[in-house]
Amino acid sequence: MRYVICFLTVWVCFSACKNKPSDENARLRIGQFLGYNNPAIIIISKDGKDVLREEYRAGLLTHYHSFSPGIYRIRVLRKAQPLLEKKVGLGPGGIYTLCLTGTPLPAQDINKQTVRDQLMHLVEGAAGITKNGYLPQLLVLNDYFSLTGKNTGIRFLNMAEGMEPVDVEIKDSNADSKMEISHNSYPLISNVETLQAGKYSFTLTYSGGPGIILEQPVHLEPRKLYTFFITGACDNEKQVLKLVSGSSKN
Amino acid sequence: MAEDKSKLGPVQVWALAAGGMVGGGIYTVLGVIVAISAQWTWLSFLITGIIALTSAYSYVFLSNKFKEKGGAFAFLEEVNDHKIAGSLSWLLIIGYVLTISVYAYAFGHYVAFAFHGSALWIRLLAAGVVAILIALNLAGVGKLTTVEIIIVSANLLALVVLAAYGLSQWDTTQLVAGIEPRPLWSGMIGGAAIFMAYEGFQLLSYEYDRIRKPEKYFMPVLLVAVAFVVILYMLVAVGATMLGGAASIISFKQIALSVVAQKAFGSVGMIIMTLAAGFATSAAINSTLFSTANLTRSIAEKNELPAWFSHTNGNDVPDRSIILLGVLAAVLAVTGSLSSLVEAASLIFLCTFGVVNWLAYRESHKRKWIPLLGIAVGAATGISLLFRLAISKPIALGGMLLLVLLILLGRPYLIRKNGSS
Repeated sequence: MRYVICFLTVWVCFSACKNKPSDENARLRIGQFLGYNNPAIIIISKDGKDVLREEYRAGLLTHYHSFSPGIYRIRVLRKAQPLLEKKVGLGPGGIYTLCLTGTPLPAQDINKQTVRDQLMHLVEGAAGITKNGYLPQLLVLNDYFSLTGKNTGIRFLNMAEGMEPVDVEIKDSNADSKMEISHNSYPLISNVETLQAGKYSFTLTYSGGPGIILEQPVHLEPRKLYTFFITGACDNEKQVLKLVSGSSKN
Repeated sequence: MAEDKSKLGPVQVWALAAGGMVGGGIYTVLGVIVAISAQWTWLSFLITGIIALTSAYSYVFLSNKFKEKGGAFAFLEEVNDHKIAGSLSWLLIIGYVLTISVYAYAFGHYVAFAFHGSALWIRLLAAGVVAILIALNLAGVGKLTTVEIIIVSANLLALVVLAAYGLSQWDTTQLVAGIEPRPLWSGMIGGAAIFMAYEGFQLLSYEYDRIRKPEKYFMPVLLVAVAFVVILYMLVAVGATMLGGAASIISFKQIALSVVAQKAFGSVGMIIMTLAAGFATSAAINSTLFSTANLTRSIAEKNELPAWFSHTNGNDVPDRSIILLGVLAAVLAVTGSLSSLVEAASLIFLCTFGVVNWLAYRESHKRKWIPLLGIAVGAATGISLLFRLAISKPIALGGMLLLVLLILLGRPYLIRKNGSS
């Protein structure tokens, strides 16, 4: 009887504190980082019906789209050629980024994988992310975060296939403090680092190399998670790499 | 009569066995297993639960047969297999060190998350909790059975409520939220990676002489405790994932249950889960450190380890063992990665349980199918784990195999040297 009372008490406490997500729908944005500036058609369907069909240019990060929770089929095409297909669950209140990366081959099979990529997915599941020989792949990032007060979160994702790993130095413009997020290698995402909201400048260098690839000032607002995608720049741009950024709010 | 009262009754044995398993297990392994098995996570816990149940049977069967405390090492000594006993005991000690490091790692992450502590805080907390428990053990405080039972009860209650609440919000999409659904067979690989979540029950075999009427109570109580934990793990795996979503559990694997509680119940839920995790992991570190140090002493007294390890302080505590084991675990907790520590420990415990099941199979005349089932499922799980390590962490696997080789070759040399001096 004592155990039942304890159970009910804790249950009531938990129930009273229940967080009801303001929007039960899932939010999903798309980052299109296919190499060589390939435009891509992305089709998202549920129960056989297309709910999104858009062509996106390379280097684009969209705003969040709202989706009812469920399991979706995601297809990626280059013109009429299917490149990728994947089923992904979008949970209620979930917030995600769908990243498209890699360089398509002229007449490649759908979901073409290297043996290493196949084996890593076999044994590691969702955590088994590899370079996949720079072939196209779809990555789903979880944009949920936990931050309090005036803190802000930043993370980097190297989407520049074939490039050396990149170090990012973060300087606070007011206090002159420094932080480094080092060895961001393709196509892995860094840990989320917490900073005070404010103005910063990022300096990108190749890991271990002295030369500066890119310097960029940023303004970070509190209680937001900023994701910086390091991508290859277009042919007509001066620098080798550029940063595409997007912020998320729970 | 007074002596009988000071012994562990069935409820205490049940609580210590269940708490020994849940103490650090579910807090640390959930994110690792959800990444591998997604919607089949519950199946992973069921498959490895079969090994745990059959091994629990074998441990009790052998403890009752030999009327001896000391677990696998004592059983092998009883059947005069001194070589395997010595090598396995060394391996087992490494397994316990890894286990303590996983618990300390979890403690650091869970507590630091509650106040948004930095990476430095995580390391300080992980090392700090081990340092405090080393000091308490050296002071002779040792195993706090009553305190442990209170912590276990509160911890189990929090997990049962979390699981029940999650199940009441039934939504199967959450099991694959933000990830790709996984095939059925992934349940086997997932289970292989986190087997250490079940190891805690066998610490009771070191307390055999403290159990009241063990021939009567030990078998049913331990089997019920293990079965309870198997079901609890399956329910927590499904319930917590339904509250938090698979992607969040994977992204925050070090603090998965706190993030789930925060997402579902806000700060109050997070604080309750942090308290449960903090107390559960520290109790698990304490009992594992205490039992391992005493095991080390008894192994040293039987000349299977250098006599240095049997040294005791004024409180009759094996001080050198406690300090060495604790420091090693703290270093691993501060420097290691979660899945590497968990998988290395899992491999060692799969080997140990395999040996115990094999001994039980050899020594028993009836119900031989139970240890045989444990051997079969354990072998399949072990092969899955070796396959996973060979692909994803070949260097770590190489290091483990080298360590085993060093133990097999180096132990006889050290023992000879020890004997001649």
